[in-house]
Amino acid sequence: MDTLNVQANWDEAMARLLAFFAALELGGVEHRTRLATRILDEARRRHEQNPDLAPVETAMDVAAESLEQWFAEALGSSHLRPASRVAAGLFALRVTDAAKHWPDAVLGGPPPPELKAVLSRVSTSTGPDLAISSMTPREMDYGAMEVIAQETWHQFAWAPILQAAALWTAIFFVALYLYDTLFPQ
Amino acid sequence: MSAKFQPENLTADFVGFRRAAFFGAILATTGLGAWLLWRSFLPEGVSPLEWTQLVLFVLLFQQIATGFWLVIFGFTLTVLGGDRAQIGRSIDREPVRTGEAPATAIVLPIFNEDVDRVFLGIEAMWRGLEETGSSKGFDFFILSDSNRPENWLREEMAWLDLCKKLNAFGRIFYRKRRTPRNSKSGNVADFCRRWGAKYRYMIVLDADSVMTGRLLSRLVAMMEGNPRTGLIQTGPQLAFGRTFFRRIQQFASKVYAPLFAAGSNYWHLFASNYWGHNAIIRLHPFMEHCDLPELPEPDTRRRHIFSHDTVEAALMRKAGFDVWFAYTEEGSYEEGPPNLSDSLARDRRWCLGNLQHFWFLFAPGLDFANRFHIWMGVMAYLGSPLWLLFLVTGTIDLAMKHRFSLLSSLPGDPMVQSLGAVQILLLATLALLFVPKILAMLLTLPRAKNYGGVVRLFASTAIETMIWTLLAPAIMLYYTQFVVMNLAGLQVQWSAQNRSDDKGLGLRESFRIFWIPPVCGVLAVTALLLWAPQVLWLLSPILAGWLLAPILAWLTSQATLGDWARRHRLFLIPEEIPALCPEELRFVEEGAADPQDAWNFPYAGLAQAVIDPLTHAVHVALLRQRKQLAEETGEYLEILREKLIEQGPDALQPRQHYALLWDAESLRWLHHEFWSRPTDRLHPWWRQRLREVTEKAGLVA
Repeated sequence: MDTLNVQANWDEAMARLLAFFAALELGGVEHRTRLATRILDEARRRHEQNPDLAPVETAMDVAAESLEQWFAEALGSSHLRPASRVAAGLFALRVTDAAKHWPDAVLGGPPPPELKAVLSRVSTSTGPDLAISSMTPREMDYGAMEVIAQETWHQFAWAPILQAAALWTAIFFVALYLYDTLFPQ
Repeated sequence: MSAKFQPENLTADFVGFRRAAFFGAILATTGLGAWLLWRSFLPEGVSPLEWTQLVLFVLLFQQIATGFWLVIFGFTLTVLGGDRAQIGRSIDREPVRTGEAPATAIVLPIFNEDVDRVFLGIEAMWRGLEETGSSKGFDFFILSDSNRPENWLREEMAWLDLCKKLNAFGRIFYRKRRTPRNSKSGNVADFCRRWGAKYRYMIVLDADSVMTGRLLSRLVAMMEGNPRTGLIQTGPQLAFGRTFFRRIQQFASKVYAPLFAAGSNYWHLFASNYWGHNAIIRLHPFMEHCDLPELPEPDTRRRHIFSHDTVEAALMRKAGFDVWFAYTEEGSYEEGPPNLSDSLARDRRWCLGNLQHFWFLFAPGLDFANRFHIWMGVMAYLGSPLWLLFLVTGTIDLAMKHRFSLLSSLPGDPMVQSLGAVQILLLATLALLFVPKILAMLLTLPRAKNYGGVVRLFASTAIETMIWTLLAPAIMLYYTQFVVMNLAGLQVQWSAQNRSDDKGLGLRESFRIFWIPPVCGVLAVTALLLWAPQVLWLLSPILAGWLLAPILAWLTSQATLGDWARRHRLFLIPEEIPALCPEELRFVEEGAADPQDAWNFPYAGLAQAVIDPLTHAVHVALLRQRKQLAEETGEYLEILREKLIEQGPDALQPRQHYALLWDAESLRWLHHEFWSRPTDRLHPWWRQRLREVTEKAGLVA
């Protein structure tokens, strides 16, 4: 791979990290650039060991790991799986606007105790505790309508009835026509 | 201050007298009408065709007579100072400031609704409740069955933002059902099973409902004061009308509905109906007695009751609890459909539901009043085919009489004679139809300045009457179609979309939707010109309605025409006058926002869930943990997500998008892949999204 391409790939990784941090609404441009540079340095080291991965892939892997580690420390919740921890942490960030109140804190180093306290108070529950109760329909007596309907459905074969009705209707109209033609008033 | 009304003091004689007076009046009027018609048939003898007309006439005329007497009783009571026997008078009129109210859940079942509008309504009600000082007992539940990804994702974010804004975490809840079984009634039942035991009352709202904090508090106070009451329905007033169609509807509901409501309360008292929203329900008996039974249909797909409300009211009464109509309470609002097409789309659903209620008509143990509610609901739609049949048989009858009169040697035209005899009946029918409007207008006159002044009040009433007179025949045709197809077990297709007020029907679109009435009109005019030209003038209002239906539907769907009417203070309602507008309504009207660009492109919901880290995180965090997926399901989802990232969203079906949105693992994988793949390995659709987020971040794409 030529030098120009290599540089373009690392530029792409840098741009992607900056876009990702901007989408996360982390701090200001200066903070995001500092974070991206730090992650990119780590990504370069890893890339030397595993050059098959594109720089952007390595950089975003490092970013994801950093987020996981930072939220593990910030939330301190052992009951959350690592995969869920980032979602819960970002949820808490969004709820508390912590990234605005502590603009340089997220990924910037160990989370401050006040920030940890704020984040740990957030619950992702969308409903109160369950109070399960039963709600089942009562037996409904529909009266005569149901009896008639059930008897009709189960005792009548509709096809021959409809055929007979159609036949007799046709006969009636033909007879009417003939009568009208033969005996005009 | 006068003594409060105590429902438990109502005696059987009192109730019996009221019902005898009301139904006696309907019976007498219908009997008189039938006798007049029968007499008009007599000179020639009553033929089978005329007997058919007579039966149809009785069925149809009782409907008109019922409406007429509702208004007459309502008018009389209103003029005499209002009905004492109304639930609103069982508590003080003063605003209720009781501190913490009993635990009350305000539930909003939603399905692909306008998200901004839903949450704006909740915020307005929340603020209204805070004003009353008794907000603490109220919790809000947004119960979503939305199956469009955009709606689902936006609902989650809107819920989060609203809770943040109002500091209402733990008071405003959001619940998304994985399996939306039994539509709205199933959604409410699901809430009851999960959390119903925690609350004493439930106030059910529609997505477009707004209720003032004062009314919400008063409803709870009414329930607290009347332990035998199981349900109180309010009379929601239509509001927020911009299109001409909405404006004429809201005007009509404001001017005429109070009299119908007062008349209804006169006879049904504690056996009122439930309209499915803007009502408070005592949860314990509701859960105990009102879960919907299955219908005894042979086809399992038709066993679910589509319109739950009327049946729930009947079951509540059957269980011994009162159902009241708080018709004089101000502060209950909803929105009407913006145009005729949307209105018919709603009627298509209601028609099926109301026809299903027929099963309950003869069910043992139901209150007579509930049977009458059911009957009126069935006839609201069944009346249309009967009306059409009446028109057809009547026209054939008249045409035949005319033909025979020409052939016979008898002097005079029997048709003309019949018409003469029918004139009284025709005048009586017109009186039954239009006297209610005149009475309602007379009663509004003292407050005419709130309706644009006396002249505009008259003008609005006249235009509204003319438009509905012309629209009614077209609506009759569609109701007939709905009834026939529903009875035949066929699905009625309707292409209506949920339109905002701003986007009316196009003229071509209107002709595409409403082609049936003009075709019927042309055929009917041709047939009448050929065989019965004398009847043409008699049927001209109906024929004109059919011929003009697409143009009327197009015209009335326009917001520009509605805006023009509002500027000229036509169809004005008091709520549109700033000094008379409740704070909650003003809040919703002023807060209406334009659609956000971030959600305004195809597959926006899916894109946001995958791309935007915060939206993604919120969505994943809110997904409830699932048990271990079956191996086949896991493999299926893997195939789907790889297809989505490799081939873009067009490669998957909407239900496959939906399946992926329910799977946190898939979303995490997609999120990671989107952000970490080199640009040249992304599908063009994803590449375009990446360009957008990069540009948004202020970076060169």
